[in-house]
Amino acid sequence: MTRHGTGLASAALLLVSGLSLTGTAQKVTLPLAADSTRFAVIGDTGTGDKPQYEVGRRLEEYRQRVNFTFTIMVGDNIYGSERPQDFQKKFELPYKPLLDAGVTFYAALGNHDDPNQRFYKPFSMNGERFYTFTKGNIDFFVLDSNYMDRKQLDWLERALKGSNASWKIAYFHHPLYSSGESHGSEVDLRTVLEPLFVKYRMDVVFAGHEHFYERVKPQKGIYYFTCGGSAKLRRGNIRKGSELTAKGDDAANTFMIVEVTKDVLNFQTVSGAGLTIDSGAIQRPQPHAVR
Amino acid sequence: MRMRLIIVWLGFATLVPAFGSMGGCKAKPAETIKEVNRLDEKSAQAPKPVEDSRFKEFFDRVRAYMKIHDAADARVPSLKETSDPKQLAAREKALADEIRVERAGAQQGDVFSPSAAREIGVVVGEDFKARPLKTQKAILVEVPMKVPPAINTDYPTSLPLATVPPTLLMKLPTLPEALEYRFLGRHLILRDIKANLIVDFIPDVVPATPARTASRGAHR
Repeated sequence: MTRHGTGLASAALLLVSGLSLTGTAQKVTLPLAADSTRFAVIGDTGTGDKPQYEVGRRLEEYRQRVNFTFTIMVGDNIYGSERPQDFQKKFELPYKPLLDAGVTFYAALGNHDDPNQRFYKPFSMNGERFYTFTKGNIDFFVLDSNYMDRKQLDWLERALKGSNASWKIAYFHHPLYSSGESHGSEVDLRTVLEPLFVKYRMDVVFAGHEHFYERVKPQKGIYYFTCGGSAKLRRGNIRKGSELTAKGDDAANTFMIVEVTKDVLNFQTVSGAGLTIDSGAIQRPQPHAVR
Repeated sequence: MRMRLIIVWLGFATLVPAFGSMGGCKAKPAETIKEVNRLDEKSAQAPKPVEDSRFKEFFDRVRAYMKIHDAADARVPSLKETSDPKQLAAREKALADEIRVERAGAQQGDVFSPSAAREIGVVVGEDFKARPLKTQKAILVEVPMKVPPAINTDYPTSLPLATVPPTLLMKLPTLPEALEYRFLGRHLILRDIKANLIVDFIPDVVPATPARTASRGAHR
């Protein structure tokens, strides 16, 4: 089996249920398998405003149902000033119930983040702008897309080469593919990252920067999600008729819950009001598949 | 026989994207990557210390700065992982203050030697000019345009730290881990990451046209 190009790669998409117009609050579409790894995805969060707190409360409701144990943050963790009280107002308080429940946060840096956030322990960055961590059968590659220099690229290639995990997931702030009117695809970044992602078979990529939700049609066998509307919202910003968009929502603040088993990654995208915006499952390619 | 194989293959290639597009996707193929999306290996060769004589003086000055940075870092409580944001702020400030004292009276051009500034100016200028206007504007759209850089002052972190395009970054001389290039207005600044300090800058390296078109202070 080959996963080269968008064609056969698309065959791995088992099911996408699309928008649940009647979306029931707290409805969980994930299988909740016994041996799965579960996590949440949030992006562009650090405003300290009402929508961030609303999403924070909703995340806690879903944590109680889904029991995810960690959350990945795709950048812009603290907007504006970064005084000690800002860390409290824009991170610690909105997610207090999650922090109290022992949920670990793994942050990536956005263009509004002081890189010294890497020393802030609750962001689990271990003092590094870019880093990797493993959960279950997933290797996560957390990148600093604000400053993609040769050193970081060399590191990424080494890390990818050494990864034997069943699933490889990367996340960082700037989306390689996006239908956003304001920003759009980060072509320059894509120039340097995509060859590595393809070569080393990245499975899924999460990004933010655009303040909306978008699931992009698979590109070269890789699934891209933009989840940058977890506090801010750029209404009506998804380019209508974009050929990139598999599913998009720019009308609500959103977060994602992801459940990964041996061969399937299930996702559910939820609004701050508790509506299911998108959900589906991605089948992992055959272990020896060639792209 | 060969024709039949081609027909079968074409049929398969048509069907598979259609299958993948369940859930509201259009059958039309998604955006494809063209030649522009390949890493230009030649442009990715950043000048290395010693090897590139054009930047020898610049690298000597960077090394001298790093001695000051490291000595200052050794005198203050070092930034390390903490759950207390007060410590983050205090340690960043302490390091910056130490460096400011050591570099009191530092001037623009103290680190960027004239030859390095000239060479880097050419690299940045050519890079911008080679990009479509839309891309030039996209690079600058989040660059704070109304804050003039000043040596030994903090980078205003309440404003975005605009991304330097990776393909441009790789054409610039390689810096130690503690330093980075950033744009501030049309200027290229040398920023001490840990101290959040503007170490030096090259004025007006970005061609004027896109700067005028990207007129907002900082896009959010």
